[in-house]
Amino acid sequence: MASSIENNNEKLTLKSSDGEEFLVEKHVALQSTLLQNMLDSDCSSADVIPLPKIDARTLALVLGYCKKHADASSSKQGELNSFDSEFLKDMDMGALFNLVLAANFMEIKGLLDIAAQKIADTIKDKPHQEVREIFHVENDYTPEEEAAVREENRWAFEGFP
Amino acid sequence: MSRERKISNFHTTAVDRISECPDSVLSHILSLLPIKDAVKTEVLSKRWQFLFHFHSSYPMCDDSDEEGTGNFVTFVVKTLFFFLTVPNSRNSGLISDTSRASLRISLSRISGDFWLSRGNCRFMDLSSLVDAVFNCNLVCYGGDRALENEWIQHTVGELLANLAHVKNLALGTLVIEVLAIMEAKGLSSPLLKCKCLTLHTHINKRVLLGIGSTLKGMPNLETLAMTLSLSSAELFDVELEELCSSNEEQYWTAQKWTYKCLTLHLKNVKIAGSWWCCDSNFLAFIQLLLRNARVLQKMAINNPNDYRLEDYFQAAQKLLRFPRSSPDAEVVFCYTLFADKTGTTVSVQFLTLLEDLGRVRDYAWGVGGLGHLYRQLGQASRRNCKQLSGYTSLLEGPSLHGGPTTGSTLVVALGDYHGDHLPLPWDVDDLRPSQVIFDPYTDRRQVVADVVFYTGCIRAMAVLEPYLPDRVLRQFNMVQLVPGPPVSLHPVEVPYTESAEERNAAALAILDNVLGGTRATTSTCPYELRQALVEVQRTLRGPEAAEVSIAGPSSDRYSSGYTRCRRRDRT
Repeated sequence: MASSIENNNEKLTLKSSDGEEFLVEKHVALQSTLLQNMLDSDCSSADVIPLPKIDARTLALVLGYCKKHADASSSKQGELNSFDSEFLKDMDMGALFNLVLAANFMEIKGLLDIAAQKIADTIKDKPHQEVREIFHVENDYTPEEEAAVREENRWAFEGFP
Repeated sequence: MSRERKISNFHTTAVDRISECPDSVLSHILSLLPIKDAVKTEVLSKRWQFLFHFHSSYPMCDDSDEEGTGNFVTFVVKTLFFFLTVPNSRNSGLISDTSRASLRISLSRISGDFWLSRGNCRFMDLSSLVDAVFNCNLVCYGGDRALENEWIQHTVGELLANLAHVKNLALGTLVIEVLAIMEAKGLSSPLLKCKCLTLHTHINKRVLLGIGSTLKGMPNLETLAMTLSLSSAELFDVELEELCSSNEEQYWTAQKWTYKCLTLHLKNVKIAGSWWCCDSNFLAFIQLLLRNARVLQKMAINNPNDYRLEDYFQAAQKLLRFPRSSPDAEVVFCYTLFADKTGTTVSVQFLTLLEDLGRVRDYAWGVGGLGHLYRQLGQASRRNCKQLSGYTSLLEGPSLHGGPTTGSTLVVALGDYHGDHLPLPWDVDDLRPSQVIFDPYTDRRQVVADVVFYTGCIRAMAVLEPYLPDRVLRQFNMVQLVPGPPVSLHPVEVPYTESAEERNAAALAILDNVLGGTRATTSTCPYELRQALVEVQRTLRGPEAAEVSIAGPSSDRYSSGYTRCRRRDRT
């Protein structure tokens, strides 16, 4: 296995939750800390690495991101930045959360950062009622409880209804 | 590899996706938000209530009573507490935060509900901390008091046990009181590796047990600093009253326990504080330290503010008589010389005097002290002035002269003396003023008469004050002659300027006037002062006028001193 790590052209097979298999080059897979750890510790002696938490569409997106970042050298930082901002543009919330969870699971820091930033931007400067609506968060506070919680950190709610 | 990029066919359902995310992801998202937005998320649902506590960038701020910041402070404190008590280390960001070199744990104004709601919690690993300030000042309200206190005791004890590896530790009154309660219940303090301990507390019977317990728990202690104050948490009043025995003064002497830190390591003790008093508890504690600390090198005790100097000196005398087990121990009483009315701050001009510490002993401290005192007297006589700084006991000195000399009397003869111990083997405290003849400098009486009845100006650095005993000779039981004309220190009006040249010129004008011989000043001016003034004059004139040229900076210092003294006198 040690020899195979040195070989950049070796391919790995990743299997999504819905059974679809993806063949990726090793240096692309190394973008993921999870996969890197698995390869380092020889856990991947099996031919196929199953990723039971990630569906095929999300995995395709993730691998697209990884490939772009693995191929581009660090000198093309500007190009990567524009790719990152394009990457998440027009993505709906469901896909975004799948992506965040996948990035979190596979430990891809860059992807997690940009996706989390996008979600944070959505929350920012909005009243909490609107945030609840956007993310379909069900309010399980009783009105009294909610008032108490708000009262506790009144300073944060100044200027919001 | 499939490169399919179609994302539009994801259909958005009304499923709460965000709340399904693990805590680490959510806290990551929250950490990207401004603190205000992050806190607002607590009302989204119960799932979110404590998430924002993971925010890594909350600002630290000191607790304050101001209404506006109060709420925010409470928030920060709670957050910090939560952050210390999270059940496990889920977020790597948090761990890096706790492993910072120092940590300040200052808990205050925490409502009872919060404390109770937290219940039992485990603390995070704090083993990499080096400095910690653990200064609880709790004010709890609401809830069951007994239960609450128990919980606080539990928490403080637990947290202290987690600070075992901290090198520099500072503890507040509440922590010590908790330790006292634990000690009284038979639980000893957790064993700490602390080397430098700072206690922010007061010494009374409520904390004696706690301090004893702390010392027992720190076998490696090398430096003990105490910042004494009168503050009290008043949280465990009831418990402590019950537990602590009433013979607090005998507490230390009754101790059979040998403190490992005292016998092996303790080298430095510093005692300071804004308000404290040298009462019996304090003295008993110092006695214990001196008696048991075998390797003690230095104990420095600062004069407390607003404390009568006489009492301080009395305590100092008692203290110096305590037996010491360390041969090298040196006890230093600190007092601020030439302080202004704050009692602690000193003019920066005295800094130059300390450039060469070897020479400090040779300075004419007497003249300096007298000059300073006269300056302060002059300032205190002004309108709206309510305070006098300086050692006013010096002014009372002459009143001892005329006391009756019958009965058993003590002749106090002061001469040159250096050393720690006062040269008085008997107990001065019991003497009455009538039994004392103040008869200093007998061997040099002639010189003293010359000094005491010298008339003219006293100069010490920038201070130049008239000293005219010839006008009040009757008060010294001497024949009052017609006094000479008053000394004029205001021969020329000079405005204060920033430019050194102008200041030099102004100072020169004053000096010319003083030394010109037409004024009365010169007749009463002693030879040495006159010589000094001539020297200054020469320096200011510059090399072309003076035969001896002296370096520039000193001339600037002289002249600025003179002009500044002028300016003050006019205001």
